[in-house]
Amino acid sequence: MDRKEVIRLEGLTKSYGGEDVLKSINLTVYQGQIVGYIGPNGAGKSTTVKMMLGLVEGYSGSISVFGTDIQDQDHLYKRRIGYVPENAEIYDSLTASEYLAFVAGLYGIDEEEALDKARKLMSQFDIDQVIYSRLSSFSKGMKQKVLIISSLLHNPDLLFLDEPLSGLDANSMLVVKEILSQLAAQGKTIFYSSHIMDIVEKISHRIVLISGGNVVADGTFEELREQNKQGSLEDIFNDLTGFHQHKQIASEFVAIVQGVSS
Amino acid sequence: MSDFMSLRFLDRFEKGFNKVGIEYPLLRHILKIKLTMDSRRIPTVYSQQKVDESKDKNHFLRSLWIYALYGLAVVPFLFFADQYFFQMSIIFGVLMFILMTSMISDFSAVLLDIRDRAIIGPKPINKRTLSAAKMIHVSIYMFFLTTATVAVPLVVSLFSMGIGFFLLFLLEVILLVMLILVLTACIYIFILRFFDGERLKNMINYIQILLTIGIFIGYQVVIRSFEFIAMEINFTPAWWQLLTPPVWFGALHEVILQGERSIFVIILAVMAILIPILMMILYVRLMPTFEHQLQKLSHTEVGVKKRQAKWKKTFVKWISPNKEERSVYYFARSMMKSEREFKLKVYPSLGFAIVVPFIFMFSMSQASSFDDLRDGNSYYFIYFSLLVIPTIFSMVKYSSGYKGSWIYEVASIQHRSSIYSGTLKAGLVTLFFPVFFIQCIVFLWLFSYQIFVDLLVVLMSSIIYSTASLKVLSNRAFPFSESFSLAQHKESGKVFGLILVIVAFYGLHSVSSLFPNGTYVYAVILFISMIVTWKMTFRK
Repeated sequence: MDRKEVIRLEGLTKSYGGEDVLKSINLTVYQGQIVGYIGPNGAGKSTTVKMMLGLVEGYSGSISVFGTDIQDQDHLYKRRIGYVPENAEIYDSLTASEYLAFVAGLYGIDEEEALDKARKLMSQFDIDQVIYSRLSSFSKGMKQKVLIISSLLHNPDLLFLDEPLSGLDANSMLVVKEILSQLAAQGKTIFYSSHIMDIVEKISHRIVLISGGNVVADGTFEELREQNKQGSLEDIFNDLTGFHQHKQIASEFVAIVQGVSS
Repeated sequence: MSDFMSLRFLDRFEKGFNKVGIEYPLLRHILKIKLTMDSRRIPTVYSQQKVDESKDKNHFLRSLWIYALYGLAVVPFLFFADQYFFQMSIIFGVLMFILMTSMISDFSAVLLDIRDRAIIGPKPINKRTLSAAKMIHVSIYMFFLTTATVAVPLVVSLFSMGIGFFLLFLLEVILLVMLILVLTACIYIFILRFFDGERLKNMINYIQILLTIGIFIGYQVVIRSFEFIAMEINFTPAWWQLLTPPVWFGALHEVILQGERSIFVIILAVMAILIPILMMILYVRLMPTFEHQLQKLSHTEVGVKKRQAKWKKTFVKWISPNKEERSVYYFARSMMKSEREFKLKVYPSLGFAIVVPFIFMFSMSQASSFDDLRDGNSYYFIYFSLLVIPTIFSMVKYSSGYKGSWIYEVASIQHRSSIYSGTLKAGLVTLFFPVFFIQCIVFLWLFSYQIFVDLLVVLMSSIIYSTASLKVLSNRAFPFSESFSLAQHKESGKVFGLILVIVAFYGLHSVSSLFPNGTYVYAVILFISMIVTWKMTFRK
């Protein structure tokens, strides 16, 4: 089968203050894939995504998106990308409708059309009653829903989702998971990072684990399970990142809380 | 969302923007959102007062009257002799000072905002458009601020000096604003080039202090360019005048309206026109670099644990025996030392407070010789340093992390008053006293130990004054519990009133000195009232 390349990272290296955060990452993502990009805190997951969006400069190696190196194309490639940032960064003095109209405008979509679409999407998430309220009054989950909608208004071909499910309740999570797999079935590519292992395990076509600046695992969940002889993705994650002492840490922690010297 | 006048005005230049590679529709779109956000007060997390949410108001625009007041101050110079050169140099000196300081303290936050990078950056927008949006956003406010400041002088000049003078004045104001905008941005570009991370954030504050001092000294230099000889004002050329923009504008006036033809003055006049335009072009070229370097602001470095000297701990224990108050003290101190926006707004005025008393002392006192000065009573000029107190306490309730203020409600604090008293002590000890004590040392050296009691009087006044300032300005809001967002401007009226209180303190002090031992009696009275005010304000 002829698969179209959407992302290609070659020898991607990034250092902050003399320390390599990413050490020569090679990764190719094909159209229609859902890629779960996981790794411990500070492993450089968000940095990778920001680099592909041209937000972080000063790296070595090459990044190609939609078949062309991002250094060789102008900013318009971003029109085909949707992005949900990690810390729910948002202009929260705006109302939901203002924010969504604003984002749509940045993608060159007509305001009327965007608002109509936004209203429909919000009602699917059951938050259409607050469309004219300020985002500052929204709960974390509601803000996350607005961000997800804002990343999809322009019907992008590639989605970068950084912790897309944080703050969502179990039912909404179910909806978002289903949305992602249907989008992928229609040929959209989804690249997301998350710390919730059972979700990554269930929805990803492919799991990429980075640790210490290197890709330490890459494949379907079944492949990873075979290679590592572990039951769940959580176990694989602990195993590959070399983390085994959780019980010991926990008991010491509790001892400190109670003021017992160990 | 209403349509903004300023945007409709910008629409006329659509073609021009498109020509230089800026996508105008996107630019307009971003500006519209920015202006909408500015017009909203971000609601506080736990506001005790009722917030009027019904209307969007731009607090910045509502505070412009204070600048009109500043503008009035330059009007007398328009009637000062028939010397355009001198008049205009002074006027531009004052204008440049007012505009540049407000640019640095109020709009640095906009220029150095990195939130845009996270939200707008991933969208398909070229960098030039985004930086232009930022620049125009600031310019729109600069326009209002400048208009408020120069409107009265301009109108007065139209009627007293005629249309030619008026038009030239107008043109020069526009050039001056361009110069200030670009100068500020260029300074930041320059620092960002060589430094990064935490260091840079601190640097910006020091640069601000230096700039403030620099502008003030520059103002002195402008005055010194002219010699007062028996009511005749003569201009003496010197090379350093090439570095003082106000003199350029004065020269431009002289050349065009008075027909001055000496080479040096013509060079100065040409600089008035050429330099702002050249810098604008330079800036447009450097804009993408600037945006790129802003990235450094978001980097965090691993902090080093700072050890605290033992005597400091003992000192804090002594001034703040209550445990609850002490933890607020430490908290407030760390916030004042690390909160970038707080520093952006407060530190320049600290630099100011250090120099102002000395500058006024040397330029305004009538003493003809140094010995005369030492025998006089110019030490009253130290009251000028109190000006920084309202600035500190009007800012103390804001924070960029204002949402963290839930901790006040959750933590079981026994006495709410200790939150305020702890903050007050922290503000005085970390910000005001260092400035004040430096001045005391210099003043003691200048005026001998005889003024010791006077300095004590000023110290006690400053404590009473701070208590009052905090009480008046806090509006019952907890420290660091509200968002910045140009909101501080709504206090300018109160701050202005508080400045008048300094005059009252000075008045009482100087009256008391007229009586034998009057200062001592006054000191005792102040001491008692200090304790009474403190106890009353921070009642448990």
